[in-house]
Amino acid sequence: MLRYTLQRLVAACFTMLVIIVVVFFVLHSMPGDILDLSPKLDPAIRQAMLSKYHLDEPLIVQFGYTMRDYLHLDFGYSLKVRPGVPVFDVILERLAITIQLNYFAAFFILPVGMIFGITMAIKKDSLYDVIASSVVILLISVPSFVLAAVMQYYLGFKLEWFPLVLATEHKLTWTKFYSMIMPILALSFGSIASIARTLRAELAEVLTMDFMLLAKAKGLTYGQTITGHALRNACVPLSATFLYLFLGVLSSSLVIEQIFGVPGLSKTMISAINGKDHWLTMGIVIFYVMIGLLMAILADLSYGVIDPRIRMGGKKDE
Amino acid sequence: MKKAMRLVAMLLACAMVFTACSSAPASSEAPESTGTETTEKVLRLTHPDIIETLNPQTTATNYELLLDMNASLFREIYNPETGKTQFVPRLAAGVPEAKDETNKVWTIKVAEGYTFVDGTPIDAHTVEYTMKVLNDPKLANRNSNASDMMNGAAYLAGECEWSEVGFKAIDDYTIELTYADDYEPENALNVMEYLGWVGACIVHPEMYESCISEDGMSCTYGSSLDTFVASALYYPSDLIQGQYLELTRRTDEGGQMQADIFTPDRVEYQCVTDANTQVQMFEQGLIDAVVANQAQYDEYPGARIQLRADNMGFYINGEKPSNDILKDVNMRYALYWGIDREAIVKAVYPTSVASAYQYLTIATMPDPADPENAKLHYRSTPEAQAIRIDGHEVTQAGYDKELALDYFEKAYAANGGQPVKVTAIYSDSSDAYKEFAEVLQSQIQELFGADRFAIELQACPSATIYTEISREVMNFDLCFSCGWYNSADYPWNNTNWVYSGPYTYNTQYCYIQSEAAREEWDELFYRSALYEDKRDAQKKLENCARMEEILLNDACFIPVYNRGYRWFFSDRIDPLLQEGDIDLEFCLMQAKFN
Repeated sequence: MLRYTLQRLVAACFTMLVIIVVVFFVLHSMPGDILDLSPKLDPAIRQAMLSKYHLDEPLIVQFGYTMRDYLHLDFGYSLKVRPGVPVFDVILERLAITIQLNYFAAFFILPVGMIFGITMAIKKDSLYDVIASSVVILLISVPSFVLAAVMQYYLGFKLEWFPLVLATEHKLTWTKFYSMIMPILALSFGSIASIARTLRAELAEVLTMDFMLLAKAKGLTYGQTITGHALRNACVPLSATFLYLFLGVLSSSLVIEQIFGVPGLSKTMISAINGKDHWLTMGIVIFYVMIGLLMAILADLSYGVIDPRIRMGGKKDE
Repeated sequence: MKKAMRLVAMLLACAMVFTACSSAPASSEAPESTGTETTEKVLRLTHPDIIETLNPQTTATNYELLLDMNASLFREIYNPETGKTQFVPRLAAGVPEAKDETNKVWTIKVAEGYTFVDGTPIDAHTVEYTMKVLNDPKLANRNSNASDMMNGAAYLAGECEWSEVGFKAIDDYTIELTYADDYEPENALNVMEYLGWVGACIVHPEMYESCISEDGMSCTYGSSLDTFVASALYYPSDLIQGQYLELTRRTDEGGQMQADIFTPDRVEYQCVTDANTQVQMFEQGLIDAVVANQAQYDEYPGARIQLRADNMGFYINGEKPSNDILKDVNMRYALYWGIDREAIVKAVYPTSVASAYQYLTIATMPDPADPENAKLHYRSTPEAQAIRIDGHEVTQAGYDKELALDYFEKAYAANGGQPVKVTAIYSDSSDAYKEFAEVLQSQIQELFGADRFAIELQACPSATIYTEISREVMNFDLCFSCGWYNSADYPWNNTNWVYSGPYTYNTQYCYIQSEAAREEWDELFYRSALYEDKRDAQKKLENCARMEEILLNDACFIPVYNRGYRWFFSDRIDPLLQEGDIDLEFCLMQAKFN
């Protein structure tokens, strides 16, 4: 297990390196002036700024500077979104609310998605299943930002049940949490639908297997067979799905943060891309990639934890 | 299953930790409630941009907002008595005074008694320190402005010491400003404009020094409340980066600069980028002002229009197009006269103003009879009214179908009578740009006949469109999503929007086709901006009109409309202006509270 984990970590580092190289050159090949300075700017000031950031040197040299800094865990400074502030500090500044929002969404997704999935599987082919499946398809099909805009208009603006935008409070009070409900719902619906659909399919299949008959023959109640046997088997693919869903929720918040005025990392990333704040964009991309790779490793490892029959890496030879 | 539950429990615990970690306030002063029930005058606004910094030396946006917190020697305000905007002393004790008639050396008195919000006194040395660090060659601040000063350019290039630059505190409350050769201002107003620019706002010396990195290459001044000290009438009392900023009016004696001009006790800015969310917030009474250009608000009562300094239209590649017909000035005239601007504006940009002028419809010029104090409406002057395009009078609508067809027939015949197909690029950043391009395509093809002059539309990423039309690339025939920023006060000066370094018109985007006209244009610009006509308002007016005439006769940029925004205000406030100012908008910091 340890060897397998180390192998995955090394592979993740290599993947990260490739992504950094690709992102660096893609970003720097974007047209336009990286400093986005007015044509009226004094040439002396322009030159000073170009020199300061090594922008007057060949791209490969700039890449060398960037990699050297990254090896020293120096992610550089934001150029435009937060001028003069270290990229690492900008990410830390914006990370909290993004993580907060996404964790709330993730922990709303899991129980609700599972309840729907289980009930749909148990009541397979019933009217409830048909209606729930239709809702699931609808939620999967409609992008989260459309749901966000619709919810904001009807629930926030027309009915005034929820605040239109995130409350401007520093601490997580009830008021602030209440203002987070709509963004959380907007982030959650798609993932709830995914989990419900996956779990329904898996559970429905497991329920028809022979060992379920055996469990019933042993005298277990219907509930015991579901929770003790069927659900456990059906959850194996779900564990990986859930971890990837978390990453999906993280990326979905790109637009949701714009709509609900959430000062999160995604909103900062959009500003950084639009403003050609390449160092900040790179920093945020690296963060997202790191989370993604970590989730991938965790997902793989979780198979073995949830189902001991699944063995990783070198274990197969033992 | 138990292991899985443990995993979930661990993740839940992490969530709690993050939740707890994220609740640290940026300021010890928590934001108040919206407070409508109190008598406090609270102005509540949204802000479309992230307020990236409180440092006036590095900001690229939010100039007026930063001017509320950072004091400059002078500031532009709206004067309700004259109904005009004007520069007035702020930290200064009066208007700048020239040492002699050359206007090279100016003396500015700094008022005594003003302080930063922490009580640190403000004097001439504070101002000099500010200018020194603003123009520090290692810091390379984007708002540096030393080039106009004696030896300023050399200092920026690291070729001389600050002591050699023409900006000195000659005593505790007097500053002497020496301009570089050819940069001498015309009058005191120009000096006030120069020193009223947001970049010239003072910074707190002690705090600034503590924020400079060890290598002297970067500075975090103004990146948070902890690294910023306000010097103007308002100070930031609460800040959530990217979401919320609260300004509170200072009550200490040292902060009462222009206290009788600005009215709110507190200002709340909420960063909301989505236009629909902004409108919904306004309708719920959560904010006091909103821009709503959407068609569904056409019939809403209480709209006030603010024209922007954007002169929008389309470019023609007259230099190396895919079809030589565009090199023919007759074809360009045909396009100029063949556009029904009123119809386009009504259909696509109902809050804008149709215009066939190269300068803004509301552009003004210094009145030759009293250039320092009075302005003329440029378009009403005899010089502007005498402008002709190939002998034809210029009008705001600029629409003449018959004339357009005449010009087209000439160009078509000269091109060998062959059907023409050109490509028009447009920005993909908004539906309005697409609609604008489609209406232009439809009008032009309908007028000249799609079988004779066909336009193929091609969407272009907004980030690349200015690269496509730049003179190094010129990868276009027509560009339907561009315009240029034009000053309302100095139209002659902003026609050179394309200059970069050497002050010539033909450097970056447009290119005057006739070499003689090009040279004449450059000559007029040099004379007006730097040399013999700089201080002659009448000459500048004449030059300005002639420069516009050259551009109109060249017809590589076809003006279509001046961009306008439609504002709505809550009943809580009463802005002083009925029509928004180009720079100061509706001066909401001076609004009356009902």
